[in-house]
Amino acid sequence: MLFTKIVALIIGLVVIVKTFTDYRNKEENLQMVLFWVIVWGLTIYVAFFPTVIGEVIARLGNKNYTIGQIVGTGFVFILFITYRIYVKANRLEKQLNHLIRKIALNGLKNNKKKK
Amino acid sequence: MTLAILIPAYNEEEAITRVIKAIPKKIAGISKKAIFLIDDGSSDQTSQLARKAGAEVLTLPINQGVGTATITGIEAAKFIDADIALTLDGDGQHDPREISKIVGLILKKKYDVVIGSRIINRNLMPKYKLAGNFIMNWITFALYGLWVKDSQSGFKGFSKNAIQKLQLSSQGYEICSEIIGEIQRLKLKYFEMPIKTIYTKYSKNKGQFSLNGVNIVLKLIIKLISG
Repeated sequence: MLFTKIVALIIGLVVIVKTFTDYRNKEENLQMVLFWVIVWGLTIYVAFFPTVIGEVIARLGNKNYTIGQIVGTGFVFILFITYRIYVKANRLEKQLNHLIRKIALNGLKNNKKKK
Repeated sequence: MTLAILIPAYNEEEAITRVIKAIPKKIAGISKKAIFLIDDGSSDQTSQLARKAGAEVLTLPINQGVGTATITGIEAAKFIDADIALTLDGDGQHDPREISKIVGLILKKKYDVVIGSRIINRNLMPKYKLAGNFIMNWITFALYGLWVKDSQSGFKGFSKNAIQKLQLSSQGYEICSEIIGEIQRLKLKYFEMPIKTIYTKYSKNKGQFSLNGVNIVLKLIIKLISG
């Protein structure tokens, strides 16, 4: 469990620091900074106090869910998000690549036209 | 006969003038020669120096990788209707005087692809590069089913038939293996020509880093899956 806490703390802090650096460099807006700080702050909190998940479920009044089910659902959700990000990033990368090649070749085509 | 010499380069200001100036003025069987320096978003004087040395510069505004630079070069070769295209590293590790031999093999022996194989002075190759190259040869063979002695060589010649048929999409160093895959897929006639490699302190520090091999393999696998 100590290992999980250390990993969550390190990754969480890295993301939070990076988000602040991006904000300082005007590459990120304040809303997104707050969003990531809350998400990673909660992640670190849950890693240090995992019983909080059980307490939240109990307060919500549904005791049929187990921690395993919650974690399983979260895992499926994260896989789906990863898939979506991969598809979008791959598509953007290809489009950017195509555009950059087109720009490079435009110079050559324009030069030939001038001649 | 038109020859397009393609030099993908990223921050090669130290070597680029020497590389371009060393390209033979006259090559047997070639009546027209175009030297394209594909500047892969360099932040130094590579473009300016290449232009001064006599190359036509194609500028990629953002660094994309040697694969994109090579594909851009091949598209330029298609645009000028080149009969032969030849890729050459910008770090000076290849001897441009060997261009004539590659061109000769394509013209006389009708090869579609000639791969400059760095086997002559293999003992001069740094051990980690030798090991990395051997592993990449095996991975290329496992993925594409064609065994070549130097799958990662950047010194290659292509006939007009190959220029027209190659369908490449790799952005980074995985382009070298992808080309081997295309030779196999298109059943192109190929030859592995032994070449000299000039290992200087500069050229040893350039090129692929060993850890990049993992990245290349991952990208090749993703490419095979996603098509």
